[in-house]
Amino acid sequence: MTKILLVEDNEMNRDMLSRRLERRGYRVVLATDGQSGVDMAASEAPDLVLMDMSLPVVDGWEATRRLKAAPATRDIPVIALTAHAMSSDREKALQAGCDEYDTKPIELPRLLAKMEALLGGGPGRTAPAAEAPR
Amino acid sequence: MTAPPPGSGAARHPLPPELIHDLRTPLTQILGYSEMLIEQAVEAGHHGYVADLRKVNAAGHRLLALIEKNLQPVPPPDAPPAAAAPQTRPGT
Repeated sequence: MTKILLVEDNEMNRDMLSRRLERRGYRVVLATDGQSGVDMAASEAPDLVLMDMSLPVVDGWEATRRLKAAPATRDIPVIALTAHAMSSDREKALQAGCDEYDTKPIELPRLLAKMEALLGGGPGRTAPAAEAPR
Repeated sequence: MTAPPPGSGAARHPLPPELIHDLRTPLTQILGYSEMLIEQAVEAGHHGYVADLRKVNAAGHRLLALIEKNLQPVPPPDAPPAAAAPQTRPGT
């Protein structure tokens, strides 16, 4: 089962998005700040990271830079998620090392398409084919 | 001079980026939870709830459209250019 690490400090956002992903057959592990996200990426070896940018302890930009600097985690795709919607935000996320960028509110079909595009490109990473009822 | 009414498309009102960010965050939850509940209600055959949940979801989309159409993130006038970039503020 494809494992997603969701790094999100907002409890409702975390609950909502993790449940929606689990309904589609993903296994979701959770981190609530950037440093925990970096640590869990190393210990859990997820197939993909969904990274909120406005995080406590270590923000999403710095957490992504750390993930991409570490040999064990640098190949894990990272999708930045942010409720900021300025044109400069995407560039800033990509400069930090994010592989993709998406805005909140989440449009789930759009996010799933980006996830599956990234997951399909790596060895041993396959996106779930069908939605699993909860 | 009177500002055009929201939704008229006549102008975008400048607001600090953080305020727009803070408006979008609860909308993320309204839209996300309502979409999930619609899926679950359909699956469970609770069709009586689906129509009302769709109204909640549609209202959220209308509010998001108003924000995107009428509000424009701008930095404070005395702020350096870097202030236009989002500041890190946890919890959203």
